[in-house]
Amino acid sequence: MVHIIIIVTLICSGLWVLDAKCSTLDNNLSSGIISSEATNTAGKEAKNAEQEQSVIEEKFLKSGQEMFQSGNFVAARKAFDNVLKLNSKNVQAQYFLGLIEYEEGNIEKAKIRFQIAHECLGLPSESKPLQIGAKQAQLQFPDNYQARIYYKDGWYIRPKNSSDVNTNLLSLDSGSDYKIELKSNHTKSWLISGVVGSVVLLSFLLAR
Amino acid sequence: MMSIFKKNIYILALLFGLFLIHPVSASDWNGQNYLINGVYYLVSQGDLNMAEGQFRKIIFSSPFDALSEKTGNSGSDRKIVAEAFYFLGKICYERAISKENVLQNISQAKSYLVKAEEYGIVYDKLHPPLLDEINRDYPEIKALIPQPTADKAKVTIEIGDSLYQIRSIKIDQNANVTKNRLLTKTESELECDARYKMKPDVQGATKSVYKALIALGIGLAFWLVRG
Repeated sequence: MVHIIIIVTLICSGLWVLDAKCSTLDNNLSSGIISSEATNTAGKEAKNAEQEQSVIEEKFLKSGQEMFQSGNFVAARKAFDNVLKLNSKNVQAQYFLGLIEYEEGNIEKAKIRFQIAHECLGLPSESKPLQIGAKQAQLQFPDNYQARIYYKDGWYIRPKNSSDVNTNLLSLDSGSDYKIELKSNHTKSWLISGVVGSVVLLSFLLAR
Repeated sequence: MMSIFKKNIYILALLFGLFLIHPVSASDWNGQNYLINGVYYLVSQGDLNMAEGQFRKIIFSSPFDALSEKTGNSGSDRKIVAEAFYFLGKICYERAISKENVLQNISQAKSYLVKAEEYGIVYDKLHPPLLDEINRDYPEIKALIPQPTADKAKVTIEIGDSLYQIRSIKIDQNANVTKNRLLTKTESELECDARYKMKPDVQGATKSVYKALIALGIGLAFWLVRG
């Protein structure tokens, strides 16, 4: 029964979105309104050009990686150079050029490329090693699950930091008994779609 | 006004789309960045400790599928994991060469390099086949087998009232990886000083729900456009 309600609501949500789009299209066509926002055109063109460039960059990068993997270092180098012509701060291209230099025996050049790639990443150098608390086991669940942790006797364990509420990384102490309740986040989104869909369905019925 | 026919086609396409789309989230894992940093610290700086930290982060932060699945969408992620294991092995080997706790480092290096091969490392100049070299030079030292620790926590996992299997990957402090399976509603003992990545195996149930939804969706779609 729940499944059927969800199906109907999903369909209705889809119809609702479609109908909104169709009516917008119809309105535009029937009124024959031609957008006269000339000021936006230049901005849009610039954005399009940027998108186009990033697509070309991605293509060169992909072909370079394929060439590198097949051992064709000359073609790979050419592709990565093309990427850098478009975006000199492309981390992947710098890194792969470093790998090519290393493969060709130019160790010093490789080291420089790796350094540039590292600098392009712009990440702070974290010197703190990854540590798990002493006598603790950490449990990590997929992001699409919500985990609540209790002691075996039913007491809920509130996360120490409020930021930990949304993380699915739980710490268990040695010698203790726990119960963990896992809930899929999908159910929640389905419920929301269900409510929205029911409203849409009702409005459809009323409109008829 | 858009024709009824055209509108119906759109409705059909949308319905099929709605029911066929499977919730697959794109991997936004930053393992490649850790790898680039690790290679920089190892090759350019010669800083084994900093490099080791970056490679360990790859293992600890890697998606469940990259550590467990041999096929599927996790191919490029598995390559990064393989490289991380390789470089961890290389770091241990270099420490052993500089006479730093030779027995333990060689044993750990072998363990990492075996894992690198298991995850599909591709040998080249930056990744020479060190395992062969170590096996030749130190045949008497065996690969490290992670020992169980005495400190344990007990846990019972529940997903509603149903009984599911949960696939688990244990990563210990030294980034040794072991796979296991747990059952929901059953008490399990977990060793401490380790991180467990858990993935409930509820796909079978979800798949059958999807099949039913697709069938019903098609039926409803035809009913909607019959006029």
